[in-house]
Amino acid sequence: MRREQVQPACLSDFEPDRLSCLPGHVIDQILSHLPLREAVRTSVLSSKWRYKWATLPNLVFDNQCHSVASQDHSDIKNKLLRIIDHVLLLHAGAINKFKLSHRDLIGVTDIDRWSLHLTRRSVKEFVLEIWKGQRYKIPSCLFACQSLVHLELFNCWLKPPSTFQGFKNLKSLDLQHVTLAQDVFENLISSCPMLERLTLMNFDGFANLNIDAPNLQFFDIGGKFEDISFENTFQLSVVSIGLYLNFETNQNRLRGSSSNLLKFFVHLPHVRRLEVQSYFLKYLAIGAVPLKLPRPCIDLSYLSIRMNFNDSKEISTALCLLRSSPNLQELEVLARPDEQNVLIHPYCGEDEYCSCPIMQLRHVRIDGVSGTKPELDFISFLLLYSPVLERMTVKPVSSGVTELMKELLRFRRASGRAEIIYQESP
Amino acid sequence: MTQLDRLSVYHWLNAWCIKPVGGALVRQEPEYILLALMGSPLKKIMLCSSEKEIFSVEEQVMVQHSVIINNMIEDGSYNHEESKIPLDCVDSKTLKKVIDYCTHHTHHHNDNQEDLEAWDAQFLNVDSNGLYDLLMAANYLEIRNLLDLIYGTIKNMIKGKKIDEIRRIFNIKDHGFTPEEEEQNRKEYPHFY
Repeated sequence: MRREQVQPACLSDFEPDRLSCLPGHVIDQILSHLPLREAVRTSVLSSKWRYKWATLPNLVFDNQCHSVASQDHSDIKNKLLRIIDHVLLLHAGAINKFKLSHRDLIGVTDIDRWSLHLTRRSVKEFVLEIWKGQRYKIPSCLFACQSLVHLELFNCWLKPPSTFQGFKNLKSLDLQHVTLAQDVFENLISSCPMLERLTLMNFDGFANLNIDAPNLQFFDIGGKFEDISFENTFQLSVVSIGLYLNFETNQNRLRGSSSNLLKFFVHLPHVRRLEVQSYFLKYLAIGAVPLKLPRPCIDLSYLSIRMNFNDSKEISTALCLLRSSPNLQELEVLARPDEQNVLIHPYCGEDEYCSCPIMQLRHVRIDGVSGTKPELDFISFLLLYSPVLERMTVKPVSSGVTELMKELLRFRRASGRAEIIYQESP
Repeated sequence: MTQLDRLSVYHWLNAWCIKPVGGALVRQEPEYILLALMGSPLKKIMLCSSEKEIFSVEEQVMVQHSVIINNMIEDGSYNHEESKIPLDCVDSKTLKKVIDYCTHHTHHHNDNQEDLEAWDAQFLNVDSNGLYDLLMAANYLEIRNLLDLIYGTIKNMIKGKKIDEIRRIFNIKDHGFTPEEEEQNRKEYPHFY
């Protein structure tokens, strides 16, 4: 948001220096609105200002940290090292947040030193983003930092020492592009009893996710895994899972004919928002898909699924979810284009749409459809069984699919108020 | 009567409605006159500046912007019939400006972003004393968006400027360093200057 620069009118010689006399917390606010470099600069403004910056609680070192005088990366890197050392040495008071995210910071061991310093200063939020190069190995001292409430790591390798007891106060964990072993992951999650938010994107080193976190409320994951299960996660209310791996269903992955869908929902009674992305619906469809879940998801009000309309098992799974969510208000269905374009499981419309529930859907969005029979049956079913529907938005995969539009016009609707919006791709 | 019509009448009547009552200057609210014409009451509250001037302002406007006033109304410590809220650290000139800001932003919150920003820029076209007074008032009353606006302005006065220029802008005539210290600073941190 741009603001016009306002210059105060000319000051007379009798005007006192009121800026320096403002109350401490107001000056703190002014300094915290400045990038860190500018705040530190005020130390030479006057003797009164020498240490006003030194109590800033949040230290953010990113690309704005220095003047862009030189394009030489090692020069910038050296400047950055000096700035961080200078700031950490002179800083007084509590450090609430430390963030280091700079594109020229590659393979520096100084991070180990700074982590030790921050651990001693009881840092609460630690954010480290290594933009380039191989995974940075997190130093052991950081694993001993019990003051941590939020930990965010990008492109790092986690190998805690054997003395690692977990993070007793950690509420939020965000790991992206990280490597950790299976047992390290499980131990990490189960030894952080206060954990409320977990984000996990593009990880390697482990393939089975067993989430044991009694206080977890928010769970967002995208990556390649083989198996996922929850334990004691009764507070979990927002879940987003993306399985980026198109596994072969011909393999003997059946493990009896236990349903992945049933197993998944056993420990998720209070889910409010659920996103099933990439190939995760295919995973949930494994095993014998029930008609309905044994216990309905009464809190579920938003559902987004990526579905392959050519796979009737995936459609059955989606329908099972819809039958088990009596209070669902918003639904988003994104079509996953199937590479083979071949029906994986034979589709029979009548079998699928037996026992249709009356739904409370208000807003529906269907994306990427082209007008095939399974798609049309699904849309027709939604329209027929949603008496309070307000709006359905249909976005075709390509423009000019007039057959689809004709069918949409024809479908009966249970809701007299329903708008159907046909969104053509530009 | 539409909102716009009411406001125009309000501004017209405002100019005519100041009268002394028992030694204090009280603005007779033109809304009370409008009441007789329209019959829709607007809840008002009375704010009292440090110079004992009383300002009457729509409760809704102040409650939307000032956390302090919102809390006072909510916990019932403000009695509509008799009390006024004393604001001993805010003088009349500044209080009027604060009320202007809150009133404009309540009545014009549907305007587009550029218009609002232009109005804000014009609003802050004050001398530095006025700016500090507004800052202290907004801080005391806890008016978040006005505070952010002022912090943004002060930030622009500091960011990217040379130290000597910042000293000039904020009238820091005596930087308090000994000549040796000043020279030391310039030698050690030339990139700061």
